[in-house]
Order: sequence, then structure tokens, then C-alpha cells
Amino acid sequence: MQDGERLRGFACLLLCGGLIGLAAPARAMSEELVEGELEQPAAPDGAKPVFLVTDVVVGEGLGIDKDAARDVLANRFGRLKDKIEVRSLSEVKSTLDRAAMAQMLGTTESDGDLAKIGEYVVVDRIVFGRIAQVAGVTEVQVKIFNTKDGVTEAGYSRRLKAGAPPQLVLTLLDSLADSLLAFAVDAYTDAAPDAKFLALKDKKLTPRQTAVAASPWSMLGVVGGVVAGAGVGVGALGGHVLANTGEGDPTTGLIILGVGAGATLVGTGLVVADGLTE
Amino acid sequence: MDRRHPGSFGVVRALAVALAALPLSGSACLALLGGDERADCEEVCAKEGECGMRTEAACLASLCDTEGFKVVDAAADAHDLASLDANDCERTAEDCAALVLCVCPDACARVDECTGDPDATCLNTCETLIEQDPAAGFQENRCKMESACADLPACSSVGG
Repeated sequence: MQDGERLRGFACLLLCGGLIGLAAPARAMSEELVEGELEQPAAPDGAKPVFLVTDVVVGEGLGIDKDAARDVLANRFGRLKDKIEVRSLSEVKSTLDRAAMAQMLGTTESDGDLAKIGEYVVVDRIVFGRIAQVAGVTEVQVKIFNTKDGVTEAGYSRRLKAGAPPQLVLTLLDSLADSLLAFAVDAYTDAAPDAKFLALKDKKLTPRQTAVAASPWSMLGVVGGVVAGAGVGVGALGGHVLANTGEGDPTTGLIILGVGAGATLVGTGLVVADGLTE
Repeated sequence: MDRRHPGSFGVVRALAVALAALPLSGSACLALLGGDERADCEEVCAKEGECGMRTEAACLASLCDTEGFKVVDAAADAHDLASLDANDCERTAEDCAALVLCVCPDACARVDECTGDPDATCLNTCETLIEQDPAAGFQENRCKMESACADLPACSSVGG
């Protein structure tokens, strides 16, 4: 019997050893495959999708500065700097202006500036928008255009009801930029939650303190208060009946008074019990 | 005449008992009248502080008043912060990741209410962006739900 068990144990060890022997090269191969895949990513290491926020066309009479609207959109859209790269046309323009000035002056810095222009102009996608008003309703729309494929990849629009505070156009621009950003995170990155968010999952919260308040015991005080209050009322009524009985039979008044007094005592007892259980 | 005394005595006694019972049932009555609202509000702020989303003092200043939750905006557009689903959600959240995501439905609803244009993608967008930058997203969305409509644009700078 013992020999049999030893044999079974030995066979088990052999089987386990064999499995490990088979699994090790397989794992190495799978790692090679993964590394191979990583060696040929869609974007090289460190390269992020580059967006250029070109223009926000603003309808006449809206009192909104189009450059400011564009920069609001660009700043908001570009806030996840480690995920995507967003440039505003303002930056490109200022670089172009500086380059033109440098060339006119014949300084050596112009080469660097021109290189920078090339860097800025090479963008994967262009973001543009439009703000228009029709019959008091303001509409804001934004779109992402893929410059390589020549297609509009995403477009969002939101409206501001007539009579709403006009500054809410900024809130609409913010929310549309958020929509673009969420789209960009989902479409162009691995969309994995940030390490800060994952750390929050490990931070457990203490149980709700008001659980006691929801227990049946806490209701005792409430019920007791109501019963005691009702008892007082009934007792007062009994007293009134008794006082006006005159020469008649006082039984009714006494009964009402007794019931009221009893209810008051019971209610008070419940309130006290509630106090003791807390 | 003698018969009147027991009645008067009954009334006096009943009143005396009632007066004695009132202080005892004070806390219970307070609970019935909503006196626990302030405690609920403080609990929300304690949870937010525990997760490091904003300081308890900052939370108390923007969410609570002396009696419970604040009411923001003008009377016509009164926005009672006690009605926010995020309050219960945060109080019952098991971890801080769940807590930060509690703000999305109310913040989206607030923007929809102020602009008059429901946004079907808002919830998904909010959750995606909070997963990328939890503290900034949480603070901005809390600001949205706790602000008057006219003040919503200022919330974009709250989260840094």
C-alpha cells in the first residue's frame, strides 16, 4: 500500500517535471512573440498621436473671440500630455512668425525654427470646430480629421438653450473637448486606467457609520416619541372628559386617562430603551 | 366639585409626563425632521478626505451648511445638494476608485440641466477621463454639481 503511494508520488513528480520542462520553452516562445509584437508597434516608442487644433469658426455677433475659443479647446483637449500630443495653431503661427523674422534678419537660428515648423506641421490629425447661433440657440461642434486617410474620424456637437447664460459656451467647449479626449484615449492609446486610479482601487473605505441609524433599534426612539406624544394627548382628553363628567359615571374618563397614561409610559420606556441601546 | 379634581389632576399629570418625555425623544424627533442631514453631509466629506480627493474643510465649505446640505442657485432654479445621488454613492463606496466615479451621473445631469442639451456620451466620457486623472476629474465634476449654472465655466480650472 505504501509502495503504491510512493510510486504514485514519484509518477506525479515526473509528470510535474515534464510539464514544467514543456512549459518553460513555450513561455519563452510566447514572450518572444509578445516582444516581437512590441518591436513593431503602430507608433514607435514614445511617439504619441499628434493633433493640431486649427480653427474654431465663430458666427457673427456672438461676441466670442475665435482664437480664444480655439485655445480653450486646445488646452482642454491636450491636458493628458502623456497620452496624446495636442498643438494649437497659435503655437505654429508664432513659430512661423519667428522663423520669417529670423530669415529676414539672416540669423542662424532660422534653421532651428524651420525644423521646428516641420515638426509642428507633421500632425496625424486636425481638430476644428464651429460655433453658430440660430434663433437664440447656440450650437458648438468639433471634429477630428485624419490627414493621412482623409476622413473625419469623430464629430460631436452640443447646443445651448436660448436664454441660458452665454458663458456656458465655454462649458460646452470643455465638454466637447472632453468627448474628443475620451475618443482619442479609447481609439489611439491602450486606454488603460492611470496608475493613480488603480492605486485608488486598493484603498478600501471604512464601513458606513450611519449603519446604526438604519437599524431597527434606532426606530425605537422615534416610535417611543410618537407613542408618548399620543399618550399625552389621550391622557389630556381623558382628564378633560373626567373633569366635565360632573355627577355622571366617571368610568369613561378614567379609562381614557388610563390609556393615555399607559401609552405615555410605554412610549417613554421605548425612548429610554433606545437611549440604552445606542 | 370634588369630581373635578381627578380630571384636572389627570391633565396636569399627563402634561408633566409629556414634558418629561420630550427631552428624551429629542434626538428621535430631530432625526424625523432631518437633523441627521448634517451628519450625512459630514460623512460624505470624511470619505472624500479619506480618499484624498479634497480636504474635508473644502468639502464642508462647498457641500454643507449648518443644517445639512446646501441649496445653490436662485430660487427659481434651486438646486438642492441633498438630492445628489453622489452623496449616497460616496457614503457606501467600498473603495476610493468607486468613490471618484460617483460624481459622473450628477455632474453630467447638472451640465445637461444648465445647457438644456442632454449628452448621451457624457457618462462614458466622464468615467474614461477620471480613470486617466482621478483627482482632477473628481474635483471638477464635484464643482459642476455644486455650482450655480452661471458659475459652471469656472469649474474647468478647479481640477488643475
